[in-house]
Amino acid sequence: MKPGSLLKIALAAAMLTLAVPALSFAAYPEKPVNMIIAFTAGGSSDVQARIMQKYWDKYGSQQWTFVYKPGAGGAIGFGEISMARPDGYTIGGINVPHMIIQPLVQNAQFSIDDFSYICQVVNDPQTVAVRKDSPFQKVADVFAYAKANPGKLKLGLVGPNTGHHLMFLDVKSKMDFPVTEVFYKGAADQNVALLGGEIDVMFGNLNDVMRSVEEMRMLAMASEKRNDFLPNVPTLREEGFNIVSDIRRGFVAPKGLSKEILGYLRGVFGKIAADPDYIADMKRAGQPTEYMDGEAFAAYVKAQNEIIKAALSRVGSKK
Amino acid sequence: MRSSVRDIAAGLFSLFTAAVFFCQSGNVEGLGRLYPRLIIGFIALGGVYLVGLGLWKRISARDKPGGEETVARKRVAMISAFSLSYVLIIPLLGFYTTSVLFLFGSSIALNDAAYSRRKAALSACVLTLVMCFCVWAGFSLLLHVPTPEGIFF
Amino acid sequence: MSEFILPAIGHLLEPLNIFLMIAGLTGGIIIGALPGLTATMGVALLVPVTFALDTTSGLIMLGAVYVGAIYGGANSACLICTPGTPSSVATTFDGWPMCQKGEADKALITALLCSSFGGIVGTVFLLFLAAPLARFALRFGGPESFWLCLFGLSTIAVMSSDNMVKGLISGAIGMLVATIGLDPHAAAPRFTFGYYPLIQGVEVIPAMIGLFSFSQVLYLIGSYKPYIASYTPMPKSLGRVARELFATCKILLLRSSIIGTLVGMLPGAGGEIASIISYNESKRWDKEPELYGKGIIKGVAASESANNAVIGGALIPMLTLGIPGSAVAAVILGALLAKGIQPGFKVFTVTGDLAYTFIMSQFAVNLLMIPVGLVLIKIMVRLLSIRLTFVAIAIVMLSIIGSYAIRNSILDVWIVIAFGFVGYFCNLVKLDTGAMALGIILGPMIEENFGKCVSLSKAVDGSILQVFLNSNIAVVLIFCTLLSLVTPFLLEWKRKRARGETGGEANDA
Repeated sequence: MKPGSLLKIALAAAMLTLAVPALSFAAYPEKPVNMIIAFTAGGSSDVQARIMQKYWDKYGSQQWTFVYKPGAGGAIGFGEISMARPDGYTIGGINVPHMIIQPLVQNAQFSIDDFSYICQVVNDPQTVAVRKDSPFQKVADVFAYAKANPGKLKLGLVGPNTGHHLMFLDVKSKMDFPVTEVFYKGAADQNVALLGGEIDVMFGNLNDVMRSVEEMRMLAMASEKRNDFLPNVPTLREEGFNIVSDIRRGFVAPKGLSKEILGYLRGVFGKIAADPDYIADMKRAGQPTEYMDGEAFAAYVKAQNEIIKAALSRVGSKK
Repeated sequence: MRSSVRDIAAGLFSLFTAAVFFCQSGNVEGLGRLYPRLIIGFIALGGVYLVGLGLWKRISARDKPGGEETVARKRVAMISAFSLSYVLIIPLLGFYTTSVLFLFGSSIALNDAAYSRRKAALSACVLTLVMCFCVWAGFSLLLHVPTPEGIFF
Repeated sequence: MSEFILPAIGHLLEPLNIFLMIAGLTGGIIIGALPGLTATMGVALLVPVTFALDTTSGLIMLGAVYVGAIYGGANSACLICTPGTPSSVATTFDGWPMCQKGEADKALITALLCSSFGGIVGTVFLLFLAAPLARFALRFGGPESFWLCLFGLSTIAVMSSDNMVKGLISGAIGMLVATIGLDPHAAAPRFTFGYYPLIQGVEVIPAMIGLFSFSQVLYLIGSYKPYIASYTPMPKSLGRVARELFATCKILLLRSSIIGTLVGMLPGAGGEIASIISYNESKRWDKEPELYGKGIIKGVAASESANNAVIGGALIPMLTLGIPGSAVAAVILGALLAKGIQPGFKVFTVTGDLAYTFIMSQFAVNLLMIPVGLVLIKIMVRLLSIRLTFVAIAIVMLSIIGSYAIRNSILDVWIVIAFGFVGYFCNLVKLDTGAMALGIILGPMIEENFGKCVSLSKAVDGSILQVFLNSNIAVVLIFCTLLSLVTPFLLEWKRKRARGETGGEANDA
């Protein structure tokens, strides 16, 4: 070969190698993306992700392949996301405070630093709910009854080691609340127990109580301000009790994701969250939306981690 | 297998299971420990009973004969070995590659004597192709279920 | 209600819906028949398809798949002694012996007709009695569920073929295996033997695939049989089976279907429990209980009608309260919520069109299942003419990919292999694998509900006994459980009395 053409080939090769990263960025995503759901099909996390999927298909290019990895209250799924290859083809849904509590208490195989945060999509506050025919009309009644009859009031929680459990610990640390607490495996069991009379009052998530809203009375919500779904329900702060407790749902990818890919994901998710049809769908499904972008979400998680660590060591549960 | 041997084997298996789980039960507290320990206790008692029953049957010659079917032990050993290697190799080579090896290999090895070599190889090929196609069409294409990953696919 | 029914039937006659019902049934039956694929998985994987359809059509399709899959499990239960779905465990007890006797088509047609009957009974309850039944289902809390599960376990005592102690031990081993994973009270890892993935616990379905499918493969390969069973197709089987069912099984079918509907209504209890309880109740009240397990129609009828009746039952609390009565109902509920349909008693008025079209489609699907099922039966029995070696090898591959597909976890595949060997060993020493499967299924529910009873006893500041006796339902169930445990002795006494009159040897226990 002539030296001139060799030089030309070398130049071409050099230019191609420079172009490859740019090309690979432009090409993402070029195959379906795995969406890991850490809970069972049909649950709240699944429903929310399915609604998002509809709009991802509008704004993104490749499909989502749902992969269900339930177990250990979400720890299995969260662990899978953290251990996946950070190439942008595996992302997943996470729940706060579950993902914070689990590494502290359960020897989980991940920690909050193992993720790249895409965004938050849902803020689901806890509510204090009783049956429609219950004698309690205000939250203060519930607390008064508990104090007057220690142990007689039956409180239902999903747990242990969940947002409800944390709220319960928070309440107990701030005021006298001698109840008999009963833990349930999931929100469906908790709802059955309340409606069937096994428990008298429960701390339930807004999304879950909306499924049976005509049978229950919500006495108060543990949120910063009143929620659109139930505008007549006061916040606990309004009623004189300084408790704010909620479950957040968001999306993450394993840490180490390239800046371009993370930026792309954050951008698309942001567009979906701003889409008015998406917001309407979420409202119809009873899912309380609150969008927070990736950076803010990551900061929120870190702040919560400190708060929860303190709360758990007060109670002695930390391992 | 005679009835007494069955009982003794069942009893020993129960005792073994109970022992294994008991050794591991140290690190849990409270109600979460009581419940499995109750079960372990029950199994252990049952195991002792069964071993005793088997021995008593042998001693008092009240054994019931097995009702024997001849078992092709070599074939059972072969398919067990093949299946174990199948599962071990999937994470290395990938699902479809390993499946092809497994389907083809075990068909040939477990071939009934009635087939000639050519016919055996042919039917092994047919089985391999049909099964791989059906699983691929049903699971990957239709239902979008991911298959275990490996180096190949 | 009546103003919705006619338009609902009108919707059903739309060509798209008819197509979806038939396609859903076919897909469902095949999914159910394949060991490894279950109804829950099949329905879950089809949910995205419903996004492209309108809500009514999507719901009709999911319902058709559900019905088809629960029936479909009977096919593999009879043909290869492997329950295609957990609900068909009890069908193997009589279906497989029938197949071995050369009566495969009789067994399969029985399963088909009984599934259809059970499904219709369940839907009748859904249509007319949804509201009061849903209220009743709510009364099943911790103590009631605990005793219901114990009652289910006590049926092992009646089930055991060889020795009651062996049956109880198998059940106990199953319960012990189910404790692996997270402790439900303190959420601490338990029995993980230092291997973190075991924190997910042993999932029921891979364990059952191992205990039944894989161990069956080992058994079949070890036998010298060239084919799974000899089979001579007999003409006009449909008519003959129908006549026999009508003549001998009327009460049995009604009783089993009602048991199925009631159990299906209870959140947490599903087809497996219903079919086993129904099988045992049939055996208990029959004049000739010793024929069960040797291959009679009644066994298959009891099991299959119950597990399809569960469908109607599970839909009752799902539609009226938003509380699913089974895992598949939970998936369907999720699909409904994603479409913005709110469950509740309003669902029959505000979205009445959707609700009644769905219920009517369930009737239609249960009837359509008969012709669709017959066609598939003709195809499935061809399995019996493929050489056994090939079938066995294929089952191994399906078991592996099927169990992997549940949670995308390689642990489940190892569970299949491990339980396969355990199951093979247990069959050799006559430890009952059905009892073990039941222990794995019921164990977690028993422990969790027991914990709830303990927590509740604090509020009554008394013992657990107080908690149990406070509930009428629990007392009834306690009585049933005790009766169940005593039954083997009663049956033995009845048999000895009958033998004593004719003279003969007493049987060794």
